[in-house]
Amino acid sequence: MQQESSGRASVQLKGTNFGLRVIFSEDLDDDVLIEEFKAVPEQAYALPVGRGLVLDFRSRPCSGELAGRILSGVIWPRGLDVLAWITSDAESRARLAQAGFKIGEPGHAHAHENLADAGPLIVNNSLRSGQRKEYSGDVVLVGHLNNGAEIFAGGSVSVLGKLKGLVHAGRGGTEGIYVMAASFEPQQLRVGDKLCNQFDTSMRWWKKPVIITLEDDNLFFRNWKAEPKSEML
Amino acid sequence: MGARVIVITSGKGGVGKTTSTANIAVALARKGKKVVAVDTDIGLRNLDVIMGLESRIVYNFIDVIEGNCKLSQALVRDKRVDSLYLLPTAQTRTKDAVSPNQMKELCEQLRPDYDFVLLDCPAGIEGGFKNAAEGADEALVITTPEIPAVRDADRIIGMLESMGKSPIRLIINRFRALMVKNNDMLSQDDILDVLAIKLLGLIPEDDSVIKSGNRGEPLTFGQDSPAAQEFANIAARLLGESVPWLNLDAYESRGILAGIKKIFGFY
Repeated sequence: MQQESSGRASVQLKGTNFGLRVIFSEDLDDDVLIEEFKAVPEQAYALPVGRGLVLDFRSRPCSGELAGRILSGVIWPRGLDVLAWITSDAESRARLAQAGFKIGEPGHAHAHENLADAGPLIVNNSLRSGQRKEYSGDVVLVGHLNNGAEIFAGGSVSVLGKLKGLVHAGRGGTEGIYVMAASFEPQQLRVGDKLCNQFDTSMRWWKKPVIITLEDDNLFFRNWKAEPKSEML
Repeated sequence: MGARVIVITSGKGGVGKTTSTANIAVALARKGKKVVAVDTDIGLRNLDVIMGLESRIVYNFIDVIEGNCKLSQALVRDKRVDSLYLLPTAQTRTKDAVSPNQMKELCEQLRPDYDFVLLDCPAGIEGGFKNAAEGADEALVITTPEIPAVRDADRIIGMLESMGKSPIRLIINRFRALMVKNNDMLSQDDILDVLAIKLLGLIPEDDSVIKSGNRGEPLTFGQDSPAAQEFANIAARLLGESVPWLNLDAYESRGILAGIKKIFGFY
């Protein structure tokens, strides 16, 4: 669904796996933006909205007043749920966070909460090259993840051996997700929609026991022994 | 009882499957065992060349499966040693010329008459590998001390495990102790750490392997090169004998010394 203004999309709606992503034009006046948003027909939210909306302002600042008008003018009257407010404007991010709004990529927390009921998948043998485990919840591997082996998990992944293969954790949402390894030696790591392949033997955490989390869109490494030191990659 | 049917495989090509098959087959035969080496690499026939039996092939095992000849007609007896046979494959056919069940049936036909059936497996993980592995009870996985070869060996071991083959044992080929010492090559511990299966043999890099392959005379026919010794040791270990490991450090040092002597004309 797109609303056109002066030949350019001012409010774009895109279906995603969590619901709808509403992308606002970066150069519209606030009043026009609100009117355009209000003009989106009710039916647009009916089918793919899923768990809620992500409001994506791109580089456009979002003032407190604009946030309030969006909430009172569109969100609350239509009974919608906002999962996250996305803007690359640092001041706006700080303001929204201070006001208690969720910022950064969508909170898939709902998905992760649902996964908790399923219980973790425990794999009691090493995974060799070419072997793959895919599971909607957490995965615990009691063994090594060899080079060429893969774990794709909706939740967190714990490798109680050498992590040399590919882990993609947080496919169902990144909130509270971690990757844990007794010895960290991979070529690549994926958490949510983040991919990191800057690992080599000179890395401080190479072959060390680590816990990796995603915080403010960055991967954070901590010693498994829970030392206070941490390092952003 | 019947034969032990062993597939010799690797995943990666060029690591020494065919050379190992030929040499282990000869070494077992020289120990008095009745052995047949089966070339299952359909379309890329090489075992006959390495064994020096190329000129004596009339039929192949595809002919047996298709009913063009009897099994005994396709078998080529090696006249240099008692009780060693080759069952060649076809060079003009492709891997889909046989099914896993046909391969299994062929192995069952061979089993009563031999002590060992050694299946020289094609590289890769597709139909050719599956055909060869289907008929086997045990597996020997060959790797070289290189990361791609080890990774492919790991893949193959996983597949063999899922097919229920046991035991699966490892042979490391083209090993160079001095390079390991200089941290330029994976050590046997590095490899075993990844693959986590029992090591059956550690074959040193040896020029005589290339020469013997070109001559069609497997090393284990009588040479005393380190590789020949280790192939013989592998055969002994397959028979349950306890054989000490070669001292590869000493061998390579001797090799360097011999090279220096040669340069200075001592011999």
